[in-house]
Amino acid sequence: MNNVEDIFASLVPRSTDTIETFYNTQIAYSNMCAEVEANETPIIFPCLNLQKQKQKGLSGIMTEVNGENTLQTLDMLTEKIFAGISVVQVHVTDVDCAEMQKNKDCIDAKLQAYMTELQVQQSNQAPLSIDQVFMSFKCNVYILPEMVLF
Amino acid sequence: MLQVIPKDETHDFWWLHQSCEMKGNTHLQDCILQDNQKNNVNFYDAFTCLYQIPNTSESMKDIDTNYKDSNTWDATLNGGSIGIYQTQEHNKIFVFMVCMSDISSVAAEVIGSMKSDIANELNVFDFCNSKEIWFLENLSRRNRLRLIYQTAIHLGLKVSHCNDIYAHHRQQNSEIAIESCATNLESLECICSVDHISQKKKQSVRHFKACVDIKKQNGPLPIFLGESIGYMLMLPDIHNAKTFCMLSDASPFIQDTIPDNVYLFPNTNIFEDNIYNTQKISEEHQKMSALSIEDILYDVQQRNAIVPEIISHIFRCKHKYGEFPFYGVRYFANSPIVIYPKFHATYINCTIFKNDTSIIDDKHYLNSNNTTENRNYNHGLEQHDDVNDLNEDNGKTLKRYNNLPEIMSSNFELEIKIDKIKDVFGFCVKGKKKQLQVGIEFDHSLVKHMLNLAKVDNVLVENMLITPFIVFSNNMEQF
Repeated sequence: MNNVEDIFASLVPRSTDTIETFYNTQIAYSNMCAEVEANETPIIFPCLNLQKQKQKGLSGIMTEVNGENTLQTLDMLTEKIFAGISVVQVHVTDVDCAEMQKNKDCIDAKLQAYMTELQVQQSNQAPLSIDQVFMSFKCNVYILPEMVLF
Repeated sequence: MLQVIPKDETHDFWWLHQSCEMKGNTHLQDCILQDNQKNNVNFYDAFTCLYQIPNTSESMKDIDTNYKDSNTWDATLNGGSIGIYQTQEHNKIFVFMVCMSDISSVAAEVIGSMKSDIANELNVFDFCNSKEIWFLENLSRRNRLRLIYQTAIHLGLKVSHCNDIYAHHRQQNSEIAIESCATNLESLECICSVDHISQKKKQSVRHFKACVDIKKQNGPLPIFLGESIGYMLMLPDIHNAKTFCMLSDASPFIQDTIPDNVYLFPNTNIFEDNIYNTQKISEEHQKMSALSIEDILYDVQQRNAIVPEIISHIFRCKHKYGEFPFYGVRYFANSPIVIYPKFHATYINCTIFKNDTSIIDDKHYLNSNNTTENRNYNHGLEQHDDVNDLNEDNGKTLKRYNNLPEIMSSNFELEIKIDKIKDVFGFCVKGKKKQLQVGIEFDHSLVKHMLNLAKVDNVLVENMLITPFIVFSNNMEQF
């Protein structure tokens, strides 16, 4: 019991499978960076909501990676990168609120129609070729200071 | 979202009027090629980034367009939801528009391709500190705010808004909503620090999944509780909840923290695929021996182990009767010790079935520990304290379910009347077996434990639940 990650807290009881997965991930992550010094090995910190989800792996974790390590060591980026929540306050009076309550079905229908229409429009647009992205990125990466890439 | 990645203009794909040119001579070029052939990695100051003055109209002449989009794009909802949420706390109704979305999977592909192309040459810090990463993160946020603004206009609601300064010049009149608070469900953070012993500068990158460093959070923190439950806004100061201006407050969430420490705080609820998982976990735990905090402390003392500040904070927590409110569990040899609150949280259903053939409505509350609790749901305009009104169409009177056998027997009753249902123990939608996902129900006790476990000991921290009024979701994956 010497390391930071040897004791951690969770909000609700977790299954043995979840803890095992977390433990094995830690080991796998350390092994992946076997060449680097021990104090530069990435560390995984669990949060209170540590959980294992189907096809999505572990979530509720923070991984700290030494900045000097190669990009290969940042192994846990997912498709949901930069997914987020934005909360915006709506300016309404109490009277407006009561009005909204009355017309809930109407507002709901408007929202559903609007969003469905938006999605249909977007699905009709031509998809972007990943080749475009590849080509452009090679150019852009040159911008990084003192880097030469091929 | 397919238009998000703008097409090539001038020499640069992402930003207007920038290009990279070789500044070395042919000798340097040969060196580089030689290194490439030998698979060596050396760094040369070989390229320079040039800014080209664009041929723009008079009105655009003095405007810095370096960080603007290279192309126009439309706001889209990707794997998330948008809706109106409301609360009645503090004797005042607040109405919010909330959007949870990611950017197109193209962005993930871009990052993936960067990693496959240059992962061995580029270090983590440069990657995460690059303009590309900033652009993607900012784009994701702007997409959500643009979507909220457009939807608000369509529904005839008023939200604060401003001009999108990063929009392409063909979209210069584009508006985005001004957010009261926000969080990333997955994000990257670059850290520069100085090692206290060696005095060396150290760079590191932190990758957060479903959590944030609460120390870095400014203003309220939204926590996703589930699609049918809504969100919880953690407010740094109870007085801040009184007015709208303060909801947009950008003051630090917590202070008095140790500078280098990370204070992880969840921004997503804990979900289980079904209620049986929670029962399985509960059975597992009954077979394990619980460690008291006294035992753990004794063990730590005997080993002269170093305990992080956050854990020692947990060890110091005692309730008013002088007992520790937590206990520990060691799962297997060498496994970490996990500290849990003695209070057991309740799981509730959070899956939305909007189909008319839904058998089980999303408002049926499940209780994982078979105890009836008095819940206080006074925070929403539309709370179904009595679920009688939820299933009136069937002419049946349903009541709140308190335990699993009751739910099962109720299903059984339905099964006799409706032939389509095949599985007594599962929940059926259109004849398909649908697992019922559950999420933790947050109440004041759980929030208090959460704050204790995360060492957010600011006494003024307050929470506010906002519940769904109307929601549109295109989330393919159930959280």
